[in-house]
Amino acid sequence: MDEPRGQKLDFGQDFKAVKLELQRIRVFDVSIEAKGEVAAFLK
Amino acid sequence: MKDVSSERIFTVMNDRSQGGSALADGTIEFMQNRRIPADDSRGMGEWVNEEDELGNGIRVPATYHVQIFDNSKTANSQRKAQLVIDSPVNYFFTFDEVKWASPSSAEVSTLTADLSAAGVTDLVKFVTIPMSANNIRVRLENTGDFLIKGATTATVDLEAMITALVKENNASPVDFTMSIAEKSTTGNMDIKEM
Repeated sequence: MDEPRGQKLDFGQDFKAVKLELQRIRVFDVSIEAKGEVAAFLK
Repeated sequence: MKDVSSERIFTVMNDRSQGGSALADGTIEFMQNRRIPADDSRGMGEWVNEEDELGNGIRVPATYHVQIFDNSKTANSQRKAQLVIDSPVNYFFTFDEVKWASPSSAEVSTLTADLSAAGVTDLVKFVTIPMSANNIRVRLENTGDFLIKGATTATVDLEAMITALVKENNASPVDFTMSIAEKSTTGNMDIKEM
């Protein structure tokens, strides 16, 4: 069953387990930074 | 639209927001296009009457994905239709002969399996929007609704999903870090500020 949303949505910052209730939309900005060999190449 | 006394459901999906109603028993009306012949005296002084170069009303092509079914016997495919409409198959052609070498295992895409393992299953839709170099916006949506049997809260491992996308887009493994901030649905505010 779908989980009730409750009075206040829980905007927990656990990005390994993003909960999406039925018909729910969530939006994230993701920044990626290369390390090691690729980072050196980009410099 | 669902029959209140049975499990019979009628769904229509198409590629635009659209008005629809059932004004009389046994009828369903959809507004394919709006066109009125005269001002309705509501203040605009100009009415909706889009015409082509010959003065005929414009043609408005639309495809309707219709399913009439018994929800106790047949799977509801409304949201699958939505995903197909939103992300149609893209075809690419080459006109020169290409001799493909057998790909090594590292070159075989594992994206579908990786996304599925991250929780991006059939009813979860995702959209990625490039914002700037190394920055993307990710929109996750659970398209499931209460009329789809078995549809439930989805749990997505966003970090694993991003890792899968990075892997797919780089020929060799990349060592990287990521930072994630949840935004409002419109994307203009951090969620923690709401």
